[in-house]
Amino acid sequence: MTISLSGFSHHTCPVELRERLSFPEERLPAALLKLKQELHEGGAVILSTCNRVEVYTRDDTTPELLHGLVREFLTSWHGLEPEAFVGHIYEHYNRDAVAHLFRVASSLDSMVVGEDQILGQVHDAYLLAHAEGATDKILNSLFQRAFKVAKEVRTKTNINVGKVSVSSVAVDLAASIFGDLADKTVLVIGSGEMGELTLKSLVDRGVGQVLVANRTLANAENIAARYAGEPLALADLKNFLHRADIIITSTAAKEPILLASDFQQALRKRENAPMFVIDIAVPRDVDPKVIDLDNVYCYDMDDLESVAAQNVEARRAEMAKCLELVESQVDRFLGWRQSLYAEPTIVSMTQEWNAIRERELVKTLQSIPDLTEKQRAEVEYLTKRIVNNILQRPMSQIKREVVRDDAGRVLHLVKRLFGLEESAG
Amino acid sequence: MLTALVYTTFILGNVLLVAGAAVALSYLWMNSNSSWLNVAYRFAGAALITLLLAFVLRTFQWKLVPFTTAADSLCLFTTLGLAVLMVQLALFSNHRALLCFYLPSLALIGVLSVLAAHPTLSEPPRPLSGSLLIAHVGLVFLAFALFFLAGLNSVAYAFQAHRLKLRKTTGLFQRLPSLDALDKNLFQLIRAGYPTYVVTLVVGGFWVWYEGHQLSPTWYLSPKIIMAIAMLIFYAFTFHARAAGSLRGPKLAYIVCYGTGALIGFYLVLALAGTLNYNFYGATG
Repeated sequence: MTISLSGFSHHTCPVELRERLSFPEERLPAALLKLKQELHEGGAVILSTCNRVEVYTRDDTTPELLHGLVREFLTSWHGLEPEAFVGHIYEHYNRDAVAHLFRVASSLDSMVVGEDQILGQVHDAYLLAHAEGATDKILNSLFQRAFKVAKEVRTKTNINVGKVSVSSVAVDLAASIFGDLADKTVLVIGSGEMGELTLKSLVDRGVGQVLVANRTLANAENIAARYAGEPLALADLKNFLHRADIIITSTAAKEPILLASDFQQALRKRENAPMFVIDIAVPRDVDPKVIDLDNVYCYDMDDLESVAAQNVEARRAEMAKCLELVESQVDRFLGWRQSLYAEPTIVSMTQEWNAIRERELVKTLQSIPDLTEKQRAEVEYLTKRIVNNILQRPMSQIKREVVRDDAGRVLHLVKRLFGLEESAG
Repeated sequence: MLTALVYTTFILGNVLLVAGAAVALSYLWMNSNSSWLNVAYRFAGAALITLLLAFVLRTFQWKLVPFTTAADSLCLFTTLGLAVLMVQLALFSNHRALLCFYLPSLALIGVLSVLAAHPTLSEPPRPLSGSLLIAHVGLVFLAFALFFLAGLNSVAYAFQAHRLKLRKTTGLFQRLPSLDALDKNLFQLIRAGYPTYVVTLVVGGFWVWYEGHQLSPTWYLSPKIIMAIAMLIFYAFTFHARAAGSLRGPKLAYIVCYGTGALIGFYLVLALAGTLNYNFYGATG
């Protein structure tokens, strides 16, 4: 009963090879069908994203054979030479394969640790394989457990706290200052790509009003039209600065266009309500003295990058806690899987004891022919209860022992003890 | 029997408060998830109910409002502080990280009240002369609780604003409410505390008018009256300056934070030196 993984990810494989190995969504059902045919009786799930291609398989064979089979499948499906995989493929089985899937689903193996997208992608990959009938009991349980682990990692640790891209950091900081952005006004000065990206993130987050100022009014009108905003001429900047709670500035000006005195004036008009300035222009559009003003929080590109780096670091610091959670869940899953080895023996044991029970019951009932139908039924029920009660403890003990000890040895002992057929289990 | 019940509820309430504070501090130090805050919130709620029960039982036992002993005063302060806190957090559930600032301070006062509890809780509280004085003392504690929470809120604001200026925005910064929310909280607490305090002083003035024959002729020069006037001036200034928008943000937070600290400090020094009531009561009082 082997669970295996063969994969390529951004850690091991260049994008050129990942592109060639990826499975377009519409071709995945056919790929799963072909892979399923190659397997003896197990199942397969293919996870194909821009950062990784991973094939999870389960079959009653050795890990070496399963890995070889997946390699052959990948080379034939994509028309590649086996040498193309050298140094890029990683292959794990059983414990390592399970742990890897749990780490992937929990976004601990992602390029941006803690990102949200991967869980959805693993979920979709599993649902497709399940819908195509390519999964079996073990794989179903494995992936369900992976989703639980991912949820636990997110809720019990801070792995996804704090954004790691510059525009998201800016939006997060705005939320840290203003809370709800619905009644806030954002002013965009200039028409840089980064500025617009940040504006878009703020609009997506529900910012109330958009003002756009540009040296060329036509450009301002153009951007304002896209975000249902109000275009303004840059020459009037000082007259409407006080209206803005959040200011994104990214002009190509050589000198600062916003001075500390401009903000002091704006703050007076705003009754000292805080202002958040995102200065992503190089050279900077905002006079560095503004940093010292109360109620003005000014972040330039370096500041935003440093916050993003802090968040990445904070996520890394959470890794140990996450991996601990993953490892404990791997143990639980493997324990459950190991207990499955005992199933045939337990079935055989139950059958054997019930056969004895039925044999003895027939003899007993024949020796007491005067019993009514109700009394016969009661005697039969009694025998069933006795057998069930006797078997209950050994059955649960066997399940526990096969997890703790060498399963083959335990089961062999049980078979000898209860006189079961060696073929059972 | 009733005395034992009073002791039990009094101590249990404070134990629950300390437990809540410990859980809130664990959240702060151990970088835990928000479920810890929910646990701390439940502890605070249970502590409030238990302390209220202790207050009711003690009132019922002696048919007197228990305001006067050190244990009673501290317990009343803690209970009112907790009540305001629970109302605040019930209205804004996403502000629960503030428990890290509020609960340990209230728990400290709770511990002091437990230390002062024996043997005063087995004795009747000193009776207050007339309903005006009872209203005055009750309102004083409510205003003090509101100002105390405002002080703690200002610590949170100053912390957040400082971290933002330093560009250190991980850890607790990410778990505390936004600056805007803290600013609104702070203003609401002062807006509730200041009029309460004005009413308190007016009620106290009426009490002096009607029943002040037991006071000394120069009672208004007593340290506690001077303190009361200093507090009135301080909170009148912060309230009106914030309402007008001329004082807001980190400056207001630092002023409230240091002002509250200074007032508590002076109050404690006068109380410990036994001079709080100096020159207040006359020969008959």
